[in-house]
Amino acid sequence: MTTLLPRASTALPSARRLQRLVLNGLTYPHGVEGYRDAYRPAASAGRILAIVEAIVPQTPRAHTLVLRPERPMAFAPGQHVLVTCQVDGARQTRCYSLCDTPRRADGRVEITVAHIPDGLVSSHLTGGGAGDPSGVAIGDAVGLSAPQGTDFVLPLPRPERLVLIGGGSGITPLRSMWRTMQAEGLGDRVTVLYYARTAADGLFLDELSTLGDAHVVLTRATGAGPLVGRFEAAHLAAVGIDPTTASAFACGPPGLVDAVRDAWSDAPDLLRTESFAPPVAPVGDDMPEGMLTFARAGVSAHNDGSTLLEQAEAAGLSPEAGCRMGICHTCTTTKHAGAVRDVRTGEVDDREGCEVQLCISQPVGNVSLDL
Amino acid sequence: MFTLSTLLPLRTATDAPAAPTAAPDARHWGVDADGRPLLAPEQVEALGRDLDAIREREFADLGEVDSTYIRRIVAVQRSLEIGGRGLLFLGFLPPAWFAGVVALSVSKILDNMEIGHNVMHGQYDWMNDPNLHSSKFEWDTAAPAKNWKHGHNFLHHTYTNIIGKDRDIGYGILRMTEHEKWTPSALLNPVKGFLLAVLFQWGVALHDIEVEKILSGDKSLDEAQDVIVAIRHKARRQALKDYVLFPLLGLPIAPLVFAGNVAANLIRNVWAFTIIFCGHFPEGVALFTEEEVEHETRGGWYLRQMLGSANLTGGTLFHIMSGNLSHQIEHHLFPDMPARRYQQIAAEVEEICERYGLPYNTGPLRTQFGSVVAKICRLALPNGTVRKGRPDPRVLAGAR
Repeated sequence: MTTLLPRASTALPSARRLQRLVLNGLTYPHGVEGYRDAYRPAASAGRILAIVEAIVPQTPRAHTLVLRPERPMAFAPGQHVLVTCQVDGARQTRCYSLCDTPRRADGRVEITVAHIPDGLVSSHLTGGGAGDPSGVAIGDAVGLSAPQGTDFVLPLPRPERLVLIGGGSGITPLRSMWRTMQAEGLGDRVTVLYYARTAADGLFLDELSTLGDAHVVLTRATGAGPLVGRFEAAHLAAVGIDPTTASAFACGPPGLVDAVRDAWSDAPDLLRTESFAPPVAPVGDDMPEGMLTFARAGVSAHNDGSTLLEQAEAAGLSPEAGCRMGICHTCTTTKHAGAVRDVRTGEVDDREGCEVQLCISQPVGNVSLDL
Repeated sequence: MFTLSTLLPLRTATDAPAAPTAAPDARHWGVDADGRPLLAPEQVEALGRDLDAIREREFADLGEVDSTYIRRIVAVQRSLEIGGRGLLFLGFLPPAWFAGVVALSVSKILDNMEIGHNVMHGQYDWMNDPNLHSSKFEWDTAAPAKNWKHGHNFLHHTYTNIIGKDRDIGYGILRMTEHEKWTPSALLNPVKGFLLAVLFQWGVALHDIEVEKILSGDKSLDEAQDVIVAIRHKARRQALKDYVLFPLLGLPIAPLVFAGNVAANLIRNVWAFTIIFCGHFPEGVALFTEEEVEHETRGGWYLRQMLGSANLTGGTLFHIMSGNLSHQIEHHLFPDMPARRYQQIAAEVEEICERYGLPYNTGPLRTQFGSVVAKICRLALPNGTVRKGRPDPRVLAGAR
């Protein structure tokens, strides 16, 4: 009988290890999680379960979700999480910044979601009004990953002078930073410069108006004064910031981030940035375009219009494959980014981090695969 | 575009054993007994388009209903398993022991058939749920998922009923077709069938070693190493759970717990064998030679799946307990469609068969399994000793 025991058990395991071994043995092959997850919302599998406790409107197309995680989440201001929710029976995952301070006493976390036209997840997370039963509602479950991001976080010790420059929904991670500074009694060290197209697009405007040194610039508005239009170095001078001495965080569209980077070119170490990637535009049917990247192999190739499987093989890779007609799912692989078309139905799938069948998928523009 | 020969350029001639040359009644499947085309090539393509339309419609409709369904089945299965194992700890009370065995058997059947088989076909991959994804799921049976997916999803579902390529015809143990030369060992057909039923989970596991290819020299022992190692690892853990850990946990009555687990595995084995053998082995299901399918199109592939599979009639509970393999025809047409949908499209598929003059092989379990048992016994004897129960469907279809 002893030969049946896994080899590891001969190494005189600690009580905890033994308990783990026995539990794994008893629950094989599904594992303890396989039994636990069977009774929990699908969104939480492999994630921290969080319940939507409140939905706070921010603008006509954005609101803040107050989430109660099942266990306390330690995070640094500026970090983001992967949020998983179930839309139409399928789990979908997107990235959102944690926009409240980790010093919050009740352990709740907040994310702010702006609706993106045709965005599957943002539509779900901003839906839920009377006319939309499919959207998120109070009491719904979502899954949260561990907090992510190592660079764009508020450092310790806290900076003597902190400038937070945000554009659009890029203000969300910065909010966590100013709230943390306030909670630590350091609110007077913070200057916020926020660029929004119109007052109806601006997030947290009421809250910003209560901060000691916050400036909201509506870029679509016309008028005179020191703070008009998009970000430029002159804006810093106008609010009394010296980019050679002040620490700064900038988050927003690539244009804004580039302009801020230029302004801090004399002291680039003081600046940390996060830029929101532009969406990938699907190209027309006629001409294959873009690059195919096989991330694990570190190989790239020009998209020649054939299936991912054929192109992977042409690039010298030998992914596992079977029927080559879409029935056996042997070749299913994670697609990191980009859009692919199902050659059978013509349907285009541009989700990030989803599984695709190589043999019936054709790249549309740039595609990166876990191969 | 979808012909097998273009899709599988390297596999037609080299990988497979040569097709039997002396097939007694081999004729081109597109031709009836009198040499007239069974279906004109345009008809085969039209059939393919009709079935593609069903596929497209059903896949566009996937959503909450399907995910709620499979998650509910998983919760029921896990509850039955926990309940069943709990009851076995009270096994000193005979009713508790029997109830425990029933609950655990049903749990294992659900795990293997409605959940495992279907999840590993990729039917629920679109849900992006790591617990229900074909690349990650492992089932409560001896065969490791990875081995089984290759042998089943790829070999069996791609080369369905092609003699010499579909290794599921008789599982390399039973003589299930006249095309296979009779030898005296075929006399053992009924005995071998009985043993396979009783030991089905081990049969399925060992099937993937492809012993016949190793013996014929088509595959080296080295190539089989990974498969064998995986089986050894999985078998050890399965046995550890059912035959060591749970009995130990119920120590005062360890033998009763042990016996309960043996019984549940046995019941699952026999049930799975029964359902699965009804999928392709009742009389009247067509087999094909490699030459017949050489230039097969997607429509032709569909046609082969229809002619090569058989259904079982029954109620909803029966369909669930069979993993919806009672709709083997629909399953073979759309192997990655969530199985609960087979029942909904069955009438339409049957109507299509009728419209094209094709048989739709179906019947209650006792009839279909009776036919399987009769075939196992008939083929134990040399060809022609006993008359066939039902004619070849290709002839039958052409006669209409």
